[in-house]
Amino acid sequence: MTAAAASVGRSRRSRFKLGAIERRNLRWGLLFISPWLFGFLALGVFPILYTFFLSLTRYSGFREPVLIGTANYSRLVADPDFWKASYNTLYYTALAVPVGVVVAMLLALAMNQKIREVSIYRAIFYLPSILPVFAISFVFVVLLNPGYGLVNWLLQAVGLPSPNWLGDPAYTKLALVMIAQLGAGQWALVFLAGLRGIPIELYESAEIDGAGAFRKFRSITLPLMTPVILYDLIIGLSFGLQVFTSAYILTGGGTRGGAGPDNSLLTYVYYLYQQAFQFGQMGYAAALSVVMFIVSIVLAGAVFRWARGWVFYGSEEA
Amino acid sequence: MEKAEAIPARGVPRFRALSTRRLATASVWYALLILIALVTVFPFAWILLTSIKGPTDLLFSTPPQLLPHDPTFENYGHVLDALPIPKFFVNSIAASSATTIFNVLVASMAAYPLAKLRFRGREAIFYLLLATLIVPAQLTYIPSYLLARTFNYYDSLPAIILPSLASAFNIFLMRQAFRGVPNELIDAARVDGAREWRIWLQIAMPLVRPTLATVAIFTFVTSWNDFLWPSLMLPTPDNKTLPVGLAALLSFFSSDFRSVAAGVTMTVVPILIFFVVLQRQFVRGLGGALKG
Repeated sequence: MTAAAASVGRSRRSRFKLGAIERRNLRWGLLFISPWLFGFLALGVFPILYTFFLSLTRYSGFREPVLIGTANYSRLVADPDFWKASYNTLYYTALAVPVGVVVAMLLALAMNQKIREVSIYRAIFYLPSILPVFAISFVFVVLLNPGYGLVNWLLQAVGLPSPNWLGDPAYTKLALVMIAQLGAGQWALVFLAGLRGIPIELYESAEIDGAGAFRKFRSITLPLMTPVILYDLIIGLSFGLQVFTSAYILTGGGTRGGAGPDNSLLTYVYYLYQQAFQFGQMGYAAALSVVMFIVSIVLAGAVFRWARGWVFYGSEEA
Repeated sequence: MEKAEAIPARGVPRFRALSTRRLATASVWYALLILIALVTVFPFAWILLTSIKGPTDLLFSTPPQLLPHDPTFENYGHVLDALPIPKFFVNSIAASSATTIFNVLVASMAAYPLAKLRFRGREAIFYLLLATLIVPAQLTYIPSYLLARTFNYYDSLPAIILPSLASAFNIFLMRQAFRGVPNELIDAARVDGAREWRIWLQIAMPLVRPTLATVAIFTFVTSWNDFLWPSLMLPTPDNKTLPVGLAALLSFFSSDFRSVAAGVTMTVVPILIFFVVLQRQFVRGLGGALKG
């Protein structure tokens, strides 16, 4: 009965007059969605549009915004700190995202071995990813201290050079990448769920054909995991571009002034934060966030496009 | 040995060779697991031990001294004296709980028609939702700050609760769960004359309880750990949440690392307890996130 009514609803006549069922569904649907929709319009769409407007103004957060056309954007092009922050953020993202994928994959493969206590390891690996980033960053400030930090003590013990992690601009971003890896446990579990979803028969028939462990990984695991890897890349990209807390804590939360040696920890969001909430340059900061928005979309689009060449959707269920 | 080779099945010796090789690879993975586990646990164990070190215990030495000879809780006392920790704690609980309740309610309401009611514009709303995932939160920061000032909720908890009212990701998870509710159940209820909100509340919601738990847990933890936005919105010390408030340790105790360690332990322990209690839901939730 419902099906019959629905097919009437879909007929040509209904383009002008909705069927009873559809009208009812629309009414209820909008009713259910309205709390989200209202919040989304008031606290999502309106702020975004207002940010676009503010980016064309000079505004300190007090008095009225003054329209100045595209002056903020031309200022941005000539601002060396903008370029520095963009460079730092892209450098960090380009490093942290692939490293994160590899670490998560490695952890997932290790957890996928037939080991009885695997649930203990799962808990241990996962836990750091739900701890506050600021607490983890604190820990790393001490671990990475060149004088007494444990990381350098270990490096010296095995005869490796011990860099000044937080004092040498060549190493500060590596410290950020290391901190980000403590969040890898979360992705490892997502990867693990993907690994568990691969039909065991594929491996069995590959073994009959004499495939070794590496060959099986290369020809079965990796292709079937590409959708999960793409998912990680997209989310990782968006998180990477927004990196702030770890850089902020490593630089002493602004207490030491500046953003690390040679501004090497001045990430894009850090710069945006300084301009908007420390220097009262709200118009300029709005322009910065508009540029960030555009770059995020372009990069995500580029990753999707690139992924079309390697993502394997063959085994996807409907 | 010879007997084994005498058995005609050609695969047998090869199978045995394979199993010793398997043993070898298994032990490599084992070593790797233990190594990573140590690397992961060590920093936190070390912070915990440092936080109970007395004034005569060495903090930094080579080789490092791990166990305190003179354990004390004094460092916690220092932190509690310097900062209104109980207030931070109450603020964090209140903000995270409110954010969680709103998210569970709003997300499960919005997701139900997206999964179960056919109407024109449904796909458009869904794609709108998808698009919000790529938008960086920073794009809304300045206007959200101005809104909070205009409507007088700046420097109070609503300033951090309202902007995270409903995450698109939660709606996705809930939509995925509702799609698993059998249509027959819903149609039967309709035939019985049940109204849609009753079908949602009394039929669909009980069936998606595991996903509700996942959404609640992840929202709570995310909100608890949130740093940048609360630090912008809550300038008065008494109004701060735990992570933001404890970040003041950086300037207060920059030379007293024992107290910093005590403060860090205080932020980590609540999440630790939360995790231990709800471990199964956490892990199941991540598996579900993949399908969503």
